[in-house]
Amino acid sequence: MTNAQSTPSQIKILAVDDEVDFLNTLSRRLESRDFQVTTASNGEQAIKEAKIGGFDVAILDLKMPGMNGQELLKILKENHKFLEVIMLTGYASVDSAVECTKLGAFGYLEKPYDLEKLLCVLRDAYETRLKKKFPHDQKRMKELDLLAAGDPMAALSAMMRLDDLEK
Amino acid sequence: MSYKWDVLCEEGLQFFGKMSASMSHEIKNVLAVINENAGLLQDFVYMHDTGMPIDAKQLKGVSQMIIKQVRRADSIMKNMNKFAHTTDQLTKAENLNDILDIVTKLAARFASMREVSLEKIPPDEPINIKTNPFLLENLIWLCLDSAMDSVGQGKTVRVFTKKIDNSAQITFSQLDSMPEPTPEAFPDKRIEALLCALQAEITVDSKAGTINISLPI
Repeated sequence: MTNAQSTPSQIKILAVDDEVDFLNTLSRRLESRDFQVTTASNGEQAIKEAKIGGFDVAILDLKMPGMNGQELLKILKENHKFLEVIMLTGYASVDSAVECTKLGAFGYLEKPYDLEKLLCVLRDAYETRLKKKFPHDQKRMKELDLLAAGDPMAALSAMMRLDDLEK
Repeated sequence: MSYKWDVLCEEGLQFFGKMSASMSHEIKNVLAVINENAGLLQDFVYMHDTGMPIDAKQLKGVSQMIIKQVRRADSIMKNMNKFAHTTDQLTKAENLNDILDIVTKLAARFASMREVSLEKIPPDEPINIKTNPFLLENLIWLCLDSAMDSVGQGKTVRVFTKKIDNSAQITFSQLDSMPEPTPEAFPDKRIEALLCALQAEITVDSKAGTINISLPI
């Protein structure tokens, strides 16, 4: 599926949904905000992409044919330690939210959502990923905490710049 | 003949709930696509406000996507409406193919989730039967559910109707991997109760890979 060439300062997102029309539009909107998005329409394809992709955050639909979002979440978290995962669902329920959280999901959003809301969760997920990757860098953590309080896109850009210093 | 109303009521309510939840889930998916496209339009407006020209081709693409999703939602809602109205009358003269059509459309999402295909073969001529349409839909669903479970991923369940003497028959075929049914597993108490209420009979032929429902005309 789509896999644009990334520049070092782009956040790499893996978006997985069997609703291809939804996936393509979401990908387009995130790419216009300077994310690098790779899409997959099923779990097997997502696992393959994840092996080669080096993604920062994955966005997974909960209900998909074949391997469902929860099963995919479990596999991705087992194999990609620092990957943060945001779950999307048509109908949110407390049970499935708890189950996804237990499996390591960072966030859980109900469709349709405001993109701003998704951007906020993406920002927080990316911040968490950086904190886990660089747990001993206190100065960096303080900077991230300050950035996280502001505009999601501005905060993300600043976080990416900090992350690039480590690459 | 004694109807097991407790079983019929419980199963009927669960069937109605399951189908309603599935259809509303599909509608939410449609709304999510429309929502993303509305957002994309907002992005275009924002880009225009910052001096970038709007590409008419892109606008056309978004407009076509919204039309496509509205048609999809309309089709889901029409089927949902037909399904809801089958509870209007306890007994009604119906074209069997129309009832089968409603259930196969309702089952499409469940089939897709299991990566099973459904193929409905239209009959040569209409078969009109006098029946309780809701209970018959429930019976067809339970058989289809079992059929989809037994064929497994990547397979196709074929469904067709035919008239044999004074009965109408619904056949679920290509169930090659169907295990020999045990009496306690299939037909279960729900199917038994529905068969009794509809005065219908069911036969399972594991070798031929078929489930047949026979209904009085």
